[in-house]
Amino acid sequence: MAPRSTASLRILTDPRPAPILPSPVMGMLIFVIAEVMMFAGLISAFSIVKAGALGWPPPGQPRLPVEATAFNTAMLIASAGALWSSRRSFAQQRQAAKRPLQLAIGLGAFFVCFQGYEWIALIRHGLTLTSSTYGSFFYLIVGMHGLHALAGLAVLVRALLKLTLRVLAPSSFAATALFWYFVVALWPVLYALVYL
Amino acid sequence: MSRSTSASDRQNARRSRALAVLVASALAFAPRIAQACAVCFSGRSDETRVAFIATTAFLTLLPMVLIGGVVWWLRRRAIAIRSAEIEARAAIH
Repeated sequence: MAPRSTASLRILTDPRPAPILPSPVMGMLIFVIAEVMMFAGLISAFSIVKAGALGWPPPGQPRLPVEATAFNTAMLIASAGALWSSRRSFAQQRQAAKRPLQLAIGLGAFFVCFQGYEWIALIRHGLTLTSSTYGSFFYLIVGMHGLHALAGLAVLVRALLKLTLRVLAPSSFAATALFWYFVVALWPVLYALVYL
Repeated sequence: MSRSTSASDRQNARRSRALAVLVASALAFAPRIAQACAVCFSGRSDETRVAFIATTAFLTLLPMVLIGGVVWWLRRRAIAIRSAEIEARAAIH
């Protein structure tokens, strides 16, 4: 619906001034800002330790799978694209949003599973949380992002269930999408810092 | 008796003050001893120093950019909503 016709409809039904931003989106925005600051702290600590190290990665530590993770990064970005498509469909015809949302969840789940598979391989090669500061920071930063990805998947699945039951509110879907976009936008930064 | 006690108290207080001034002056002239900040103490190489400065700037500017960006975006959104409402009201009346 066009903004002008939406405004006309709203004025006829509700004389109060329109909210600038729905509460769920505003709440999620504040939460995302707090999360950005947390990751900024982790990135800063990592940068200082990396700058002070004699060699990076430290000798004797396995190299990270740069190419495989680049592919996984592409999958995560594709999931954001699918979610964007789902949001567009939702604005026109709600049930048409279901298929791209399922695709976004599938791609996000692939990302998390692939990360888990990589972690198992790295642990087998000797990179653990206590093997070096390199390992500590890798598992701390990437693990923290992985936890956020898992939480993001959970809220996407919740949105899909609500969409199926036809009770998904647009503001709730917008807040869910905002969180997933944050998870996706953060990853290339972490990939460039930690892997490259 | 009491007069002599108060005189010795004053003398002791004066000595303590002089000692405190002496210690403070000594610390001022010996910055290596006064290097209590672990962050400053560990940043000896040039690369680490640059990293400290860069991350300080990053962590200082980031909240301002985030909050400023959100405020700017909300203001733009508010203006757009208000103008749409004014247009809609004009169309109704």
